[in-house]
Amino acid sequence: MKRSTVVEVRPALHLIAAIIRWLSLTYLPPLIASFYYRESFWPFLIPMILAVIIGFVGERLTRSPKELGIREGFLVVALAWLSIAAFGALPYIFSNVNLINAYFESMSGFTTTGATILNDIAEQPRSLLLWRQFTQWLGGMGIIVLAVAILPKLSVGGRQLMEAEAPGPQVDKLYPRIYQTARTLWLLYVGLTVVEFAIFKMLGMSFYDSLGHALTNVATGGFSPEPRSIEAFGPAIQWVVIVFMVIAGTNFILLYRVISGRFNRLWQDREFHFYLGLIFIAGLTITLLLPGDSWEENIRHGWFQAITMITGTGYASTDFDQWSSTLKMILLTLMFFGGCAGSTTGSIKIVRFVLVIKFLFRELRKAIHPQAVIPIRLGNQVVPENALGGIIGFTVLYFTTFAFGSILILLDAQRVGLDLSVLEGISVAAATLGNVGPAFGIAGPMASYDAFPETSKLLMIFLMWAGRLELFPVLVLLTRGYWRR
Amino acid sequence: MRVIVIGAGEVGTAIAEALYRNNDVVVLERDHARYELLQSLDILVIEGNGSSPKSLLEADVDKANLLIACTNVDEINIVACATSKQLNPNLTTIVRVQDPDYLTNWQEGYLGVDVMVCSELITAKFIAMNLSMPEAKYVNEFAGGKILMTEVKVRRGSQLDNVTITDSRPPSGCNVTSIIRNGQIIIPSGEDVLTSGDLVVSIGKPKAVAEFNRRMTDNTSFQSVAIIGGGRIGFRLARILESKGMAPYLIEADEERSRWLSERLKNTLVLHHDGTDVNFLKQEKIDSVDVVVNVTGTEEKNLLSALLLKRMGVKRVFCRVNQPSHSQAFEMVGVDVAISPRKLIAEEIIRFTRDSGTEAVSMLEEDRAEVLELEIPENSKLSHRLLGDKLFPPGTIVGAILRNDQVIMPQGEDVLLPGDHAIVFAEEDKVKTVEALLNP
Repeated sequence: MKRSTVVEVRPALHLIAAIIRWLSLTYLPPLIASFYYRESFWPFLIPMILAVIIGFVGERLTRSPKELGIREGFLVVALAWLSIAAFGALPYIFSNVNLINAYFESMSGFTTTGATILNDIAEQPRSLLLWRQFTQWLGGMGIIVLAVAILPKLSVGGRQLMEAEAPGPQVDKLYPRIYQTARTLWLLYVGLTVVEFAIFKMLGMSFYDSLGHALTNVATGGFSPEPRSIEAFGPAIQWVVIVFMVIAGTNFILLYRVISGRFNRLWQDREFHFYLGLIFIAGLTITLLLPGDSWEENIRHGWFQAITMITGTGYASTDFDQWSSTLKMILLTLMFFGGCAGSTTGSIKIVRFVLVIKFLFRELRKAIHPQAVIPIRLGNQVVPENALGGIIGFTVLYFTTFAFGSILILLDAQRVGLDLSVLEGISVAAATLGNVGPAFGIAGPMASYDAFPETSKLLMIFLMWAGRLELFPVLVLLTRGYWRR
Repeated sequence: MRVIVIGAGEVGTAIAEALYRNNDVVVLERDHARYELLQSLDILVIEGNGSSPKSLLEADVDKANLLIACTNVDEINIVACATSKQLNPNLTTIVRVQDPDYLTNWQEGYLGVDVMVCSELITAKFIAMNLSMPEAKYVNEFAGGKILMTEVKVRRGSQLDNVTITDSRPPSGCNVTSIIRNGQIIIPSGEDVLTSGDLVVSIGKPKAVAEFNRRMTDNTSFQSVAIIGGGRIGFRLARILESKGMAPYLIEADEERSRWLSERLKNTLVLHHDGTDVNFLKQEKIDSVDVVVNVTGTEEKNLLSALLLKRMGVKRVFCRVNQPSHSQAFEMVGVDVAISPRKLIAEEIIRFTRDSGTEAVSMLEEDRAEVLELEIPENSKLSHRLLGDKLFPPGTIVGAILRNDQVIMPQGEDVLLPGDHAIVFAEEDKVKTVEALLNP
C-alpha cells in the first residue's frame, strides 16, 4: 500500500474523538439551567447525545498502534479546536441561529474573542446565554490544557500539545509532570472564578449575572449576558472587573507562585512589570484625553477601556465607539499587545513586544560595534538566540496576517456594498485575530458582527482560530513540508 | 616548622625559596627534570605524586605542620589536601586553585581545606586595584584597606620633577619611604631630589597617597578600560570593574566564549575578535581608551597587542606574563605593568606562612625589598620603645602605624604600643632582622 503522507492522521483523530466524548459533559450546566428556567432542553440534550456517540464511534474507528509525534501534535490542536467549535455551535443551531452565525458565535466563544452575531441578546433563552458564557470559560485556560489535566492517555505526550495551545513562547513547568502543571493551572483558574463570583454576589449582582460575568472575565472572553456589557452595572462592579481583567492577563504560573507565598517573584518578573507599565501609561493617556467632566468617570472609563483592549477581554464600561478618532486609534493599537505569556489573553503578548524592542536596540548598537556579542536579557535571564528568532518571526507573521485579513474584510465589504470605514475594517481584523471581540462602527461594543457578509464571517472564524493558537500550529498545516516526508 | 610543598612549578619553587631558610621544606614533584632547579636550595625533594598517600607518607606528612598544594591541576591539589588531612588531622592545608568556582565552594564550607587561594581571582583583584590608581606601578593595601602602599614613577616635567622631598611637601598622611633609582634602593632624607624615572614608594592614608601620586605624574584618573582576553582573569576583572560602576570593553577571540562572557557580564561590551588586529582595534577606538589590560593565555600575544596599543596612543598597558622572570623584559620594552599570576599567588601563600606577627607582605623590585605589616606583640623588643631610638636597622623605615583603627604617621617621638600594626619598608636582607625584633 502506498502512503500519501507521513502524518499519522489516525491517532490524531483518535485523540480528538476522545476529547469530544469528554466534551459531552460540558453541556450539563446549560442543560440544568434549561430545566431550572423552564426553557427548551433539546438544544443541549441532542448535542450531548451526539457528542457521546460520535466520540465513542470515532475512538473505535481510529484505534491505531501508532503514537503521536511532533507533527501530529499540531494537527491534534488545530483540528481539536475546529471540531470543538463545531460541537459548540450545535446549541445555537438548535435555537434557530443559522449555520455560519452559529459557528462564528461558538468559535468566538471558545477562542475567548467575544465578538457576537446575536443582535437581540436580551431575547435569547438564559440557558443558551449560559452556554455562550461557559464556552469562553472552557476556552480561556485551554481545552487541551484541560484534556492534559484529566485524560490519562495525555499524561505523557501532553507537553507538545500544551505548548502548541498555550499563549506565549513557552510553557513554564511547575512540576516534573506536565499533567500536574495542567491540573494546577485549571485549579487556580477555577479558584479565581469562584472568588470573582463571590465578590459579584456580595456587591449585589444576581446569581445569573455573577456567574455569567465571572466565567467570561477570568477567561478574558468578554461575552456578557447584558446587551450593554459592563455599562449596565455600577462603578464598584466595574472596578472589580478592572482588577480581575488585570489578574487574568497575568501569567498564571506567576500567579500560582505568588499565591503559594513567593511574593518576590513579582519583583523578578520583567514581563509583569512591562505589563503594569503599559496599563498605567495607556490608561493615563486615555483618561487625560477623555472629554467628560467627572474625574472619577474619566479614570474609570480610561483604565477600563485600556485594560479591556490590552487583555483582549472585550467588555465595555461605556460605548467607546462614540469616542474621538485619536482615542479609537489608541484602543486599536492596544489590541495588539495582549497580556502576559501564560495568561488567558490573546494577541502578540507583552513579552514578545519587549523582546522585539530589545532586539531592535541591539541592532542599533551592533551598527556601531559590528563585532560586539550582545545577548538579550529578560530580567536576569538570557534569551536564547533561536527563541528570539521564533519570537520575531511570530511578530512579523502576526502583522502580515493582520494586514491580509484587513484587506480581505474591506474588499468583501466593498463587494457587497457594506459601508465600512478603513479604521472599522482594520479594527475588525485586529479584534478577531487578537481575540479581543468588539471593534468599532458596526462591530462596536454595543452592536454585533451580524451585518458582515458570510464570506467575511468565515474569514473571521479563521482569524479567531489562528489567533488563539498563535498562528504556527494552524499555518504549519498549510505548508507542503508538513504533509510530506 | 615542617612544610610540605606539592608541585615544584614556578609557584612551588618561589614558595620553597621563600620558606627554606626558616623551615624544613619537603617538595613533592612528579617531574624529574624540575629537580635540578631545586638543588641550590637546602630542601628535600621527593619524586612522587602529591595526591597519593604513599608519596605523602614518604614525605613524612604525619610529622608536618603545613601542607601547600600548588600544582597546576586544581583537582590534584584538592585531593592531596584531603588525603593529607586524613593522614594527619592536625595539619594546616593551603590549596592553590585556578578555577574561582572552587573558591566559592570552599567559602561555602565545602572541600575541607583550611586556606584556599585562587590565582586568577587574586590576579584580577590585583589588576583592578592597580587600575583604580592608574599612575601607580604597584599598589597594595594594608590594615584592611586603611593604609595604602604605592610605587609610582615620577614623570618628566611633572610638578615634582627635580624637586627635593622637603620641597615636594608630601600631604600629611603620606610618607615617602624609599626611592628606587636605576635599580638602587635609596632610603631618602629631605634633601634628596626626585627626578623623572625614579620609582617612589609611599605609604600612608589612601587619600593622601593618591594626592601625592597625582602631583608626581600630573595624571587625571582614567575613564575607560579595555580587556583583551576573556579567560578567567579577564572575566573576573570585568566583574570587579562592573561592580565599581564601570563599563569595560572585553575582547575575546573565541565565539563560544564571547557568548558565554556576554551572558554573564551585563555592563561589559564583549567584542568577538582577535585582539592583535590593528584595524579592528582602530575601528573600535580601542587606541583611545585610557588603559588596556592584556590577559590572554599566550604571553607573546599579550606582548604584541600591548606594544601595538602603546604605539597607537594608549596611556597605560598591563600585560600578563606566565614566566615571572619575563616581567622585567616586558617592562623594559614598554609594557607599563607586567603581571605574573604565579608570582602573585606565591606572595599570597607566603603571607600565610609568615610568623604570626607578620601579616601582609608586598615584594618590590624582584624581591629586593618588602613591605611588611607587623603586629606588635606584648613584651617584644619593639613595644613601648621610641621610634627615634634607632629601633629599626638602617635600610628600613616605618611607613605608618595603625592604632585602634586610627592611622598615625610616625615621628621620632612616637612610641610603639602592643597591638599596633606597623607598616614597614625593608630591604630584603633586613627582613630577618625586622622579624626578629618581634621576639622578646
